[in-house]
Amino acid sequence: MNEQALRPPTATRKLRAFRIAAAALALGLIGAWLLPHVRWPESWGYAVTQFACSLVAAVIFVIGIRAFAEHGNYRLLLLGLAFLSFGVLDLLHAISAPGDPTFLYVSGENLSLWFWACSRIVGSALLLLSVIVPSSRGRETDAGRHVGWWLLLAGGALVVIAFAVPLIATVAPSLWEPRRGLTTFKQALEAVAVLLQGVIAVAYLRLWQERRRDVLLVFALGMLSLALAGLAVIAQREFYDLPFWLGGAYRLIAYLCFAAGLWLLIRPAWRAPRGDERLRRGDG
Amino acid sequence: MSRRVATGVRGLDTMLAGGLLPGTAVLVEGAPGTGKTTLGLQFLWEGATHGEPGLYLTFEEFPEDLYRDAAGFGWDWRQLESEGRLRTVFTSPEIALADLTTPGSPLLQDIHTLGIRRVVIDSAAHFREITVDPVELRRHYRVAVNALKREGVTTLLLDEDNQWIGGLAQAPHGLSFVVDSVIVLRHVEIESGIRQALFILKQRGSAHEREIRQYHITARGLEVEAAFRGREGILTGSPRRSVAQRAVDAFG
Repeated sequence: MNEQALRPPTATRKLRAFRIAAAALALGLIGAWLLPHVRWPESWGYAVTQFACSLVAAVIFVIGIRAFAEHGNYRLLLLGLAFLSFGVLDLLHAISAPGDPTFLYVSGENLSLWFWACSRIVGSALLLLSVIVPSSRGRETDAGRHVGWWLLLAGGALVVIAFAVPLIATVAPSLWEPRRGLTTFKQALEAVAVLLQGVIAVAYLRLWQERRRDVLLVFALGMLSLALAGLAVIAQREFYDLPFWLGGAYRLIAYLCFAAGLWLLIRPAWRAPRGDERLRRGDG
Repeated sequence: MSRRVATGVRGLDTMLAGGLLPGTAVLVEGAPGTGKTTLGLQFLWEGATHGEPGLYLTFEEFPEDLYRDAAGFGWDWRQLESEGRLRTVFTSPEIALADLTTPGSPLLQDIHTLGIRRVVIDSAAHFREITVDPVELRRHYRVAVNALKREGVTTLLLDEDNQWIGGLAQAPHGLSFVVDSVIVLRHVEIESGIRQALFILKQRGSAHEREIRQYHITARGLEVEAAFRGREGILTGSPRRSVAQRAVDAFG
C-alpha cells in the first residue's frame, strides 16, 4: 500500500497537534502552579536516577502482568509484582529522603532507609519466588482472568506498607542514628537482600543456559549489579559518601541491564521483521 | 434469544453466539485448502441429520467428487440424497440465477418439494464469470441472496481468496455488504508450518466473538479450537510472538 495513503488526513493531524499542544499547555500551567509548593531535592542526580529506575520497573511490571493475564503464568505475575514493589517503594524512599520533595511524609534518614530496606527485601523475595515456583510454560491456564484481584491485593499491600512503615520506623530498631550513621541492623537487612539477589542472578543464569534467551542473561547481570550495589551500601557509613555513590552507580548499571532486557523483549514485536529476516535469524 | 441454525462445527457456533440467524446469507471466504467446501458439506450434513434438508449448488465440482469428499468424513451423502434430505445440483451460475428468479423453476421446485432449509453455493466466485461490470455483478449477488431469503433458507456462499497467505482484501464487488454475516478462513505460517485461522468479520442482528481462532480439519470435519495465544499479526499470515509470549518463553 502507498505510504501516503496510510497518513491521516490533514484535518486529523491538525486536531492531533492541537490536542498535544493543549495537553502540554495544561501540564505547563499545573507545573507552574505547583512550583512554589515543591521542596527541591538536594541531590538532583540521585532523585532523577531514582525516578528513571522506577520507570523501568513500571514497564517490567506492565509486561509481567500482561503476560500473566494472557497466559496465566504465575512466574510472570510474581516478576511483575516484584518490580511493582521495587518501583513504588523506591519512589517512597526517594520522596522521604532528607532534602527530597515531601508529599506524604516528614522526610528523614531513618524513614527513607526503612522504605529502602522494604523495597530490597520485598522485591527480592518476590523475584526469588518467581524463579522457584513451578514453571507452567507451555501449559496455558485461565488463572490470568483473576489478574484484577491480584492487582487489588498487591495495591492494597503496598498501601498498607506505605502507611505501616512510618509507624514501624518509630518503634523498630533504627537504621540510621545521628552521629553514628548507618546501624548494624540496616547492614544486616542489606546483606539479606544481597543474598537473595545473588541467588536470583544464579537462577537467571541457569535459566539462560537452559533456554538461551538473551533477556535472561542481561537480567542476571542486572541482579548481579543490584547485589554489588547492596554490598557497596553495606560499606556505606553516611549519606552521600563514596560507597553511597558506588552503590548508586551499580544500581544504575542494574537498571540499564533491565532496560536492555526490556528492549530485547519489545523490539521484535515493535519492529515486525520481514519474512526473509525471520528466516535468517529465527523468530524469538 | 431467537432460534439459531447450528453449523455443526464444534466451536464455531459458540463464536456465533449460538449459531447463524435463520434465513440469513453468510459469506465464507478463504484461500484454497482452508476447508470452505468441507464447512459447506458439514453445514448441510448437520441440518440434514437434524430435520433440516439441504441443497448443495456447485458450479465447478462434480457431484461424484463431493460424495467422495463427504465419505472421507463418514458422511453418506448418497444415502441422505436417496432419502430426500439432501440434494446436490451441478449447474452454471447463469442457470442458477435464472432459476432463482423464475417461479416454478426446477431449482425452486426442489426447494419447495424437499422443504430445503439450508443452501450452500460453491462458489460465489463463479458469478464473476457472468459479467465484468461491478455494478451488474453486485446486482446479481443481491438478486441471488434475496431470492434465497424469500424462500426462508439459510445460505452459505463460499468465495475464493486468491491470496494464499496473509492479506485481508474486501470480498470483490461488495459481496460482503450484500450478505448478513462474513466468516473468514485464513492460512497462517507459524514455525515452518501452515495452520488455519478463522474469525467472524460480521454478523448482522447478533453479537459474535471477535477473537481469531485456530481450527483444524479433522476426520470429523472442521473443529474450531482456542484463540491464537501469544501471537500478534495473525492476519499478516506470518504472525510473530507477542511481548507477553516472549516474556513467558524467557521467565515463565
